[in-house]
Amino acid sequence: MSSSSKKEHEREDDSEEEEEFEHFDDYTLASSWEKFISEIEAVCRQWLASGPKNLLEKGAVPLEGAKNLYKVKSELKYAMKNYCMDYYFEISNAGKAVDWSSTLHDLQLSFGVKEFMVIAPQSANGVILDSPEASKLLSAVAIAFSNCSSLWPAFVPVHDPSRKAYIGIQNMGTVFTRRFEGDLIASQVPVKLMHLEGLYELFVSKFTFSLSDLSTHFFRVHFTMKLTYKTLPYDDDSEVSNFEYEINESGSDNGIDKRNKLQWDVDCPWSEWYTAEDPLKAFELIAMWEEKIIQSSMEMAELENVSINEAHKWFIVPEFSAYLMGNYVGNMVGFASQLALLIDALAMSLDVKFMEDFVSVETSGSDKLKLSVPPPTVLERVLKDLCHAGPEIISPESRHKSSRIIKGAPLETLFAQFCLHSLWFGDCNIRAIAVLWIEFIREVRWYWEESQPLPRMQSNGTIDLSTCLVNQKLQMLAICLEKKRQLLDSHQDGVGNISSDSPSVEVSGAINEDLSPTSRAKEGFIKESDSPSTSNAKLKYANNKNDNKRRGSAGVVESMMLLNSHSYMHAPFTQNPPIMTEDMHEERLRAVEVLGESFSFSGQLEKDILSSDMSAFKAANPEAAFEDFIRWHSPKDWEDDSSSSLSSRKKWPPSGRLSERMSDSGNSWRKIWDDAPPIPASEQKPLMDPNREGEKILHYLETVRPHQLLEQMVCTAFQASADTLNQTNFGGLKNMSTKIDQLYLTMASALRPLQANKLPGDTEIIEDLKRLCIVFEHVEKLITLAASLHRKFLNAPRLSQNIFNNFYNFYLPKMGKPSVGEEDTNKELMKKKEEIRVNERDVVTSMFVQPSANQSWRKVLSMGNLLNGHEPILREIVFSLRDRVDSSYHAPRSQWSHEQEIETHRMYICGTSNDLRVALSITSCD
Amino acid sequence: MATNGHNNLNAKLVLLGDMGAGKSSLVLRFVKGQFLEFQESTIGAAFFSQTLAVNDATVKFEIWDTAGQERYHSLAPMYYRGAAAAIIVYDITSADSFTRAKKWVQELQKQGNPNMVMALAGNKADLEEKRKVTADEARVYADENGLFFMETSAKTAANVNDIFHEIAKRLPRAQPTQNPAGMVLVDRPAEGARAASCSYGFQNLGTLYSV
Repeated sequence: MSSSSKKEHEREDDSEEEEEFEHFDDYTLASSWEKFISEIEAVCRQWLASGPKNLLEKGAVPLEGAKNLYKVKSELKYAMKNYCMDYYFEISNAGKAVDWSSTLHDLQLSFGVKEFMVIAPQSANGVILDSPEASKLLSAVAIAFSNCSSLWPAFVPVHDPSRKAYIGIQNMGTVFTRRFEGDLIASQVPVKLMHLEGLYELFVSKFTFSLSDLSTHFFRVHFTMKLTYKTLPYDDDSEVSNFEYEINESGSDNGIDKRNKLQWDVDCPWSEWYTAEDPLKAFELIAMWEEKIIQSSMEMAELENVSINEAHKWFIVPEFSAYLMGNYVGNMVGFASQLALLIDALAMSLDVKFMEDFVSVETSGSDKLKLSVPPPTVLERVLKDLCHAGPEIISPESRHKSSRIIKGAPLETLFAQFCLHSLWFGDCNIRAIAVLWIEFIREVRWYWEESQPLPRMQSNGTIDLSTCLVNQKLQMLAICLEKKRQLLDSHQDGVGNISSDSPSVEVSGAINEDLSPTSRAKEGFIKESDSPSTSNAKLKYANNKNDNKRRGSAGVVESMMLLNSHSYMHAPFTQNPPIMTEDMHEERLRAVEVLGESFSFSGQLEKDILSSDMSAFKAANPEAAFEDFIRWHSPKDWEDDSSSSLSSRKKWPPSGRLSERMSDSGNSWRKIWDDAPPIPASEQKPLMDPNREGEKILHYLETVRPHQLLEQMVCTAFQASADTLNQTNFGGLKNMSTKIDQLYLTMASALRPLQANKLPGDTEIIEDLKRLCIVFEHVEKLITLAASLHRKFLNAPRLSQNIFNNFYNFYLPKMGKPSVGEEDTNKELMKKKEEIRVNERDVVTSMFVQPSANQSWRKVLSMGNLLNGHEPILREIVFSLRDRVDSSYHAPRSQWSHEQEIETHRMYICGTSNDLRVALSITSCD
Repeated sequence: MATNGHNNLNAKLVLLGDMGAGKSSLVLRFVKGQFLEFQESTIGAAFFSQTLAVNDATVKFEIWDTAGQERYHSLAPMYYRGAAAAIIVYDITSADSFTRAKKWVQELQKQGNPNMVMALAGNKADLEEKRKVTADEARVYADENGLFFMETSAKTAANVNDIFHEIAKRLPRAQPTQNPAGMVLVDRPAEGARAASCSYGFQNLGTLYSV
């Protein structure tokens, strides 16, 4: 472009120009074009002098998408037009110029360069240059570059920007110059160029002069290839999928919100309540071939039929559904969205007295009328589901360890199921909830009045005080119901003679919940290990003596003789201690605190139990003394003289004495003993009246304050939703498990204010709960993704793990930040490749199911390199021809031997079934 | 549960252990400074309260003393429910009572409030000549299970006040600090402007969670 003499000349000028610019009228700057060149040169010198590190400090910006690539820019003016000059550089540019596996700038990939410069006119709608203008611009840059001996390749865009056409030039040192040219055929690609053979010939034609050469001459053409395949979207509708294909290809996808008809999640735990859109829309498979040398077009044609398994490296790129991206927060229907609605309902419940107030016409204001309630048929179905479906009991081990911290109810119980149903009943507004609750309680009362066991509730259980009050009440109601049924049964059977029912402890315990032998835990006291025959024989012996007097015996206490008569001690059936819900317990506590703290105080209730036990013991052992009772009930208070071996204890009379504390005069135990009449437990006044307690519970349920109910519903609904999601099988992804752990802890502390009953009027709590919903939604999305990945990569857990972790690391910083999710960051994620190991290839190929006839008929396969009937969505090829060239053309003879292989021709081809882009770089000697 | 006033703390404390281990004696020594050689066996449970000054705060203990007999075991959850602290008492002269104490620890770990302060008291330390459980054995067990351990004697008052003091010191001061790492609860995008105004009530939550 420029002669070396001119260059020298300008060099000298240059130094002067900087110092004395204002005094001289440099003749080289005479024309505006020359002035333009010198401006380019000045900028270029400045960049050259700074070096990448300093440029970075001066504010070079990193490029989105391409790793390690930075850009500085400068603006110039020429002939009334503004130009923009961009210099792209890498910080650590080790390695080859073109490496498929890293993310590259388009120009780097096309022309095999590392750092480069682009100069383009500035205009609002991109670049439009015709060819003469482009060449003129390029020659300006070339002159400037050779003036400052810059070796950067420079590019100028040509034509319409959508063509991505460039021309470029690079000064390669003393003798060589590289010229670049790239263009695109956007439609109707010649058939020949759809195939590898044709593309090969295209490349060869660039350095041979006639095609006849081709057959006679073999060239050593280097060749690498990269194929990208894409699975059909996870959707069974071919119409939609084809439509989507086209959109994807034109590069403007995103945001098509279509319904997923396949229901991929049909066996996921949440599918009972809703169907989630599959978070994974499709996968791209990228296969890369190692460089090989091709010598003929025949060889090339064969490559088109080669299995993709020959490829040297495989990568997978997931395509995530749009709803996973940040800006869709709040739009996904799931537990989180319904929980938010429930919180709205809670906010509306604060000032209302009864649940009925939301339903009745008079009190419902105009705004409440707008709240729709599902039709009676739906109500009926929900209640049926709730009450008649069999209880599936979830083992405590499968529950999350932190679930207990939240005061709710176990997932399988009636109230938890009620809460989950109300989330999805209508749109979970307060009116719908009120209707459902009232009907639900009506149903519960029916069970009570008909003495039918409550569904989904264990009647033999104790009350779990760590659950919410409504659940405790229902637990207690179930227990009361069971007792009520037993009372009814015993009435029907006439006299329920318990002692004659069965001598076996276990059986009688099961038959008679209420009256169980107390000492079950005291091993060795009740004989259990003896063979039935001997135990029966002993029992008969004992029974014979006191048959008519003894009542309420649960069996002989092994190895214990009564003090005053030569007979075995019998353990009595005793009443179970009364059960209490936490509010009852609190009431007692308050009473105690009011009564003061005299030491002599003992809960009246426990005194009743002791007295009842003593009565039952007296009935079972008519000849027993107080000491006998103590030996059975509080064994440590009996000081045995003999050693405690069984044989000696069978000796009669037993020797020993009461402990000092029991033998004190005025001991209250003895007082109670003296007052206790001998009555078997079955005939005693019950410690707890199941009828009365049951009615009290129903009264509570029927009159519960709306906000108290809603508070408990919110806690339980959060817990039950989390417990449901927690059952998802996602292959134990560590990040996911940690996130779930965190969710539970977060829920526990955010829900704590509700448990403390501090709510009325506190709007801050409501705000906090709304935030909790957002956290919940994030975790819910992640679980959906984890589940989807897990089932798709069952046999390649490493891949699902890595893909999940990539997404997780991308998603995590956005969790919480409002409205992030620009397209750029999304694209960055989209491009994140995950290498597939050889043993994982089968899993991935099996995802490419043969397209059905319906799916494939529209698409004419035109490219070859098929994978299970899928043609690549993108085929990228690099051809290159290398030549040994003497690099020191002008050097003295001594260096003749120094030869260097340089790339004389390089062609990058990037094609889909619709278009083809070709970029060529040719190195030549000037 | 420990509840927080300005500098006053109300804390529910429960004593559990085998019968005759000396639970009532410990409480009586702490609350009234008394000791009865033959303390009557507790029927069911008894209630006491005592206030302690720790540093610049006062802690009011609401103490539930439970009965050791097996018969009353099923009532225990009502007493340890919501308790901020528990003292599990055994008798150093009885290996059985130490076994029983371990069972109580297990039950509390499974059923109790996870932030509960638990103390293991080896009572009757004055009866050195009848000792069956070594202090080392108990200490190792306590360390393994995150309890703190002291040998006490209600009779000589040794370590009695100390064990209650130590519990008072260990009670969590501010409720939220107990929360292990959770997640930041963040505003809805639309509510960004409002976040500042309602941040006060949420301060505790927000600052304590780290993602």
